[in-house]
Amino acid sequence: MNFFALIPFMISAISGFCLLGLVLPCRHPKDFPCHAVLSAGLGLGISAFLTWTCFLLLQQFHKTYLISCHVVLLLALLYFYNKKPRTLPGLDKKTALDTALAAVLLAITLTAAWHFGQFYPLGGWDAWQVWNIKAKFLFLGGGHWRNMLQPSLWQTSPHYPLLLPLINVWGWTFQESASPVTPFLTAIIFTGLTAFLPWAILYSWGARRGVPLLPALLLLTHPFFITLGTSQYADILFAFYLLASLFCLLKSLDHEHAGYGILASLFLGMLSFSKPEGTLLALQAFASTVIMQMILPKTAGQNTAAPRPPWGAWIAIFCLALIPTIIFNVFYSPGNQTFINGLSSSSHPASLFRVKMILAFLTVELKSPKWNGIWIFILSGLLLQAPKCFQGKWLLIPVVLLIYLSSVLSYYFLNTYFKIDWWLQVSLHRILFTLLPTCLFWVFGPLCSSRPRQ
Amino acid sequence: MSTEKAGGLSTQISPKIILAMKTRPRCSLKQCASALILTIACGMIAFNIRDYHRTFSQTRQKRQDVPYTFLGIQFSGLQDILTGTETIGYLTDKDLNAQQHAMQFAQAQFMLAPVILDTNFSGHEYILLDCSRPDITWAFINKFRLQPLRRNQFGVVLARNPRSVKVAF
Repeated sequence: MNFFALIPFMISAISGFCLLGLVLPCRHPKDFPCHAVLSAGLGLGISAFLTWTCFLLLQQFHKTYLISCHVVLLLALLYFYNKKPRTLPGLDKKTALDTALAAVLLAITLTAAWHFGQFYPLGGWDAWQVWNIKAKFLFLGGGHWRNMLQPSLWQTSPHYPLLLPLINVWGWTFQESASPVTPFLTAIIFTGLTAFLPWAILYSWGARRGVPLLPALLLLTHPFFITLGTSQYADILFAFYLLASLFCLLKSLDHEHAGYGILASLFLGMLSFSKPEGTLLALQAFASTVIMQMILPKTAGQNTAAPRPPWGAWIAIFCLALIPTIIFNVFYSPGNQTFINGLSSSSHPASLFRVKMILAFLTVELKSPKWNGIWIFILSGLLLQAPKCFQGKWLLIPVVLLIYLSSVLSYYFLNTYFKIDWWLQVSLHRILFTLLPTCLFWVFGPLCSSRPRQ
Repeated sequence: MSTEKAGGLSTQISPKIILAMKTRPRCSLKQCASALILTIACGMIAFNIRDYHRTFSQTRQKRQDVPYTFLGIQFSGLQDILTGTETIGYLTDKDLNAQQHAMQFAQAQFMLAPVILDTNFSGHEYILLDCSRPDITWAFINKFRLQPLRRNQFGVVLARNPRSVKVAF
């Protein structure tokens, strides 16, 4: 791996940090790690959107346009950042030590993940059949990149949105060829970000020293999580943007700062562009938050009423963030080539057998040895803390997850294109993988959020 | 100061100690639940590390015994001829419904991207022949009167189809 492979990621991280700083000022030293992790994800998502504009406007990959866009964005962000200077809070000794310890642990575990991933340098099956092949079409296809959307290439799932391929294309910008190192680097970065986001959030909430590290270490030492995280699939992006969105939505319910709602809208837009089910989840999560804003008691403090959320700005930004997905689905996607409506099909009808298989597989998967009992731990942790986990703002997580899971299981029932046993075998564990970081955060969050920040 | 006689000896217990013992808070249910969750999490991390090490060692051993092979590498070395070509034909005697051959085809598609491989090969200027034996490859070349252009070290042949529509015009 050479330095040129790292340049795009560094540019994205800096852009993300400046943008985050404009939207949500970092007021407390303990917020800094959380801002750093969110910045990286935000920056990479924005870079993917900018790369998408290259293909929309110029109909092919154009290195100069892409670099210019990023330079202009960075200069604009730095201009606005300096116009209204926001002094970063100085890191005190304790925060610096805690952050350094976490960084060392992250470096050790990601190094292990890197070596583990090198056993499969080109990733899993879907990495080269679905995601990286699209990145190659975008990067090398010139004006013929749209060939990848032909229905004849149905094995590549041409209806899948393009967040991951576009991030990889951006990652190749400073290189001459479509090096396999870049998709691997993307996978490692997002694995690290996803695992460390729970730590960063819980740490910013002032949790007892060591406790915030537990969900991060549970993920980074989990062999199956590392296997899927380094497989170069879009699932790890989905997991990251889901957790980031839900965290920002939870904070928006706290009425702490309007910036959280803006960030949530941006992350939901990125989530919708990662996988088809991301679009569904983004809409469900946004709608659920709006409803909960209306239902939950509106008090920001003891004697003050909560400020009215800037609905207009949130909805506008959410719609703006959905535009890349909408454009792709309306103008480019050939539609799902692997769909048969089981309710109306006589040759492939949906039946009660399918329901039984789905429920049976779900039960077996949750207690499968490959998960090392983590789902049993999560369910037990939720039961032990039942009042806290299903109270107030925390209700958002089960509401969103339940609606989403119901939709996914219904889709398994409805779409009879594939044999249900094969389909569940190859995909159910990946659905659960994308939900794992959020579920762990849901267990540890109420545990840590009741402590006042020192 | 309270005193007690035990075995004939008198002991004096400080009122402060008695007050501390009476007012020490018992572990609430919530605290017990939190402690349990944290303890189990620590135990799971230890178990994960052990499992991770075992999986890592097993996979490393497997790689040392059988190095990683990407079947699509057999199709490398042809990209320079195919520059500017959007689609080529793919001709094979292998059963593409079998998983191994389907995987090889998918990996070939990945290696040669953005060139598309079309199993309906007849109308294309270039055809990629990927057969199980060289004599079958030559039999196809003779049967369809193809012009072989290049053969790589894995026996994959890129041929030109003089009867394709593009060549005719």
